[in-house]
Amino acid sequence: MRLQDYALLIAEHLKGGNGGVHAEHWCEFREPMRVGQAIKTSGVITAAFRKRGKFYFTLEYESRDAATDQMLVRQAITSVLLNDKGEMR
Amino acid sequence: MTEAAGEIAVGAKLVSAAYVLDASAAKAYGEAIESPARRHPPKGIHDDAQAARTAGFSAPIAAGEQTIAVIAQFLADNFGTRFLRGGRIDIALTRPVFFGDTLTSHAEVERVEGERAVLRIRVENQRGESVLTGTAAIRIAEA
Repeated sequence: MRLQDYALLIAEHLKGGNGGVHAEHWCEFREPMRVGQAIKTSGVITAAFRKRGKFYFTLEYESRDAATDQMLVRQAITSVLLNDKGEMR
Repeated sequence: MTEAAGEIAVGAKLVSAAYVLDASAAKAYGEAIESPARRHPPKGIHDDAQAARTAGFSAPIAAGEQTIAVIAQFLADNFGTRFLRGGRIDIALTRPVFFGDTLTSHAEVERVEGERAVLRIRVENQRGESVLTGTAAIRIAEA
């Protein structure tokens, strides 16, 4: 999965997940990424909840240098599913 | 990487030049994501008019990351490594951005906490409506 393209993750882990709208985001910049640098990214869905009838989820993920494991960026996105009947699988 | 010279004094205000999120941004989005054959659904609110209308938007909307990139570039231009090494943003995307919108970034130094300054940040569209609001933290000294 390419960086930040979480549509596939939504489809895999969330019922009714056919896309989301980005609502909130935090991001910690530790070290700039360089052109050509190999990066590895891992993440986890840390929250899934309903608010005002809509289904939200939060995905936290971090990107590190693939060779040295140096932390580069940590971030979290909170999105609302387009399908209001969404839920975790 | 050279250091940028954005002023860090409480009350200091910065405003970017206008930036048009034009059709090239829509093209860039399409190239940055997985191939359509692997996507679910193959087209969505960012690149399909019908999918956007079904979701309640009048036209395809920019990905949130694209608006975030606009404010991040603004902060990097003004604060360089003080933002890129140890900086942070906490934002909410408050209104959809459409391809063709003109965006302007704003930042105001709100307070200083230890080794960091906290800025109130905002991105506005051409109608003066906020499309992104939040805070940023930058280091006061270079790393």
